[in-house]
Amino acid sequence: MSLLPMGAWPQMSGTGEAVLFWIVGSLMVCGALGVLLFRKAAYAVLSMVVVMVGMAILFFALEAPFNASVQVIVYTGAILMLFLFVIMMIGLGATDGYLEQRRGFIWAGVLFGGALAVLLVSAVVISTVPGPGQIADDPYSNVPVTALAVNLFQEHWLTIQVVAALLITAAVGAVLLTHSDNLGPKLSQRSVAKARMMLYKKTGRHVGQMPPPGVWATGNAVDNPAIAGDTLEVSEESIPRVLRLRGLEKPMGQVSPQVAEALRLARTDDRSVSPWGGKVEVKQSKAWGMRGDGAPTGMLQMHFEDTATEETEEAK
Amino acid sequence: MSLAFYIALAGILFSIGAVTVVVRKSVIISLLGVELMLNSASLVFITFSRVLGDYSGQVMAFFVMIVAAAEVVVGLSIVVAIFKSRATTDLDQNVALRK
Repeated sequence: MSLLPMGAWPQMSGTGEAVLFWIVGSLMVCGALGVLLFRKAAYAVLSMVVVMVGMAILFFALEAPFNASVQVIVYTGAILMLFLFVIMMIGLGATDGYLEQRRGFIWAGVLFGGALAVLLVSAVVISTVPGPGQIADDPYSNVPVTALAVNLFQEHWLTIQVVAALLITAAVGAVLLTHSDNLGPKLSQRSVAKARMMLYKKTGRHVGQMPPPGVWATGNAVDNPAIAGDTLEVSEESIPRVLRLRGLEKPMGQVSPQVAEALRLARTDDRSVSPWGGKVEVKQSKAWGMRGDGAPTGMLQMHFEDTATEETEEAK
Repeated sequence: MSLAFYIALAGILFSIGAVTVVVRKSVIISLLGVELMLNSASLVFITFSRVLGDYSGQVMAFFVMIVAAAEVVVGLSIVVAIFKSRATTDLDQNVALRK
C-alpha cells in the first residue's frame, strides 16, 4: 500500500466499524461470486440475498437507516422474490451451462472485470476527499429519517412525480408484456354442442367429450397420452392442444415402455376394427383390454411377457 | 481505516456484476448482475452521503432503488414473454435479428 500515493479520506468511527466492514464485506463478495458462479438460477438468487442483506447492514453503518430498511423491504423482499417467482414460472431445473461457451469469451469477460476492479479500486485509493465523515445529526434520534424526508419532498418533489409516472408505466408495461391473446375465438357450451352435432352429421364422428389424458401406473400428468381403444394408436386428442402445438407431449415409449411394446404387438394382429368409424355394429366394446364379444387377448394385466406369449401362441 | 474502503468494496461488487452480465448465458442471471451493479452504485452514493455529511446521496440512492424496481418489473416480464414464445431464456439462442 505504501507504494501507492494514498489519498486522505475521513476515517471510520472505530475498530468496531472496521470489524463489521471486513466481516460483512467479505460475505458480500462471497455472495457476489456466488451470483457469478452458481449454475442454478435459484442458487444465484439466494446468494444475491446475502449481498442485499449485507448491503443493508453497511447502510446502517453508514448512518442511512431509512435506506437500510428500504433495502431489506424492497430489494430482498420484493425484487428478489420477483426473481424467484419468474424462476419458478420458467422452470426451476433450468441450469445455465455458461462454461460451455467459447473459452476466449469467458477469459475476456474475466479480464475485463479484473481490469475494471483494479481501475476503480486504485482510483479510489489515490484520491483525496475532504469531508466531515459523518452526518451531523444524532443517529439515535428520528432526525436522520425526517431530514431525509424533508430533503426528498422539498428539493426533489418534481422527481417524485416523475418517479410515480415511471412506476405506473412499469406496472402497465408488465401487464401488457405478459398479457397473452386467446388462441382462438371463445367457445360457448351451445356453439360447441352445435359444432359437434354438425361434425357428427357430416363425418359420423363421435359426439362425446374429447378423450382425457392417459392415467398410467407410471404417471398421470396432462402430457401423458391416452390410447384410443378402437385404433390401438395413441390418441392425439387426449393431449391438450397447447402442449401438442409446442411439441411438449410425451411419446408413449417414454410414459410406459411396456404399454408401447404391447401396443406394437397388438397392432400386428388384425384386431383393430373401429367400433364406430367402420361398418361394424357395436354390441359391446371391443376396445383393447375390454371384455366383450371378441375381446382382445392377454390384456388383463399389461405385461410385455403376457402379450408376447399370446402373440407367439396365436402365431402357432 | 478510512471510508474509502466502502468505495473500494463497491468497485469490486460492480466489477463482479459486470462480469456476471457478460459471462452468464441466462437472461435472469444477467439481470441479477445488473442489480449488483445498481446496488454498488447505491453503496457509493450512501458512502459519499456520510463522507460529505449531506443527505442528497441518500436521496439519490433511494431513486436508484426505485429505478431498479421498475427495470426489474419490465425486464422480467420481457423474460417471461420471450420464454412464452421461444421456450428458452438463453441469451445465445435468441438470435432472431441475426438470421
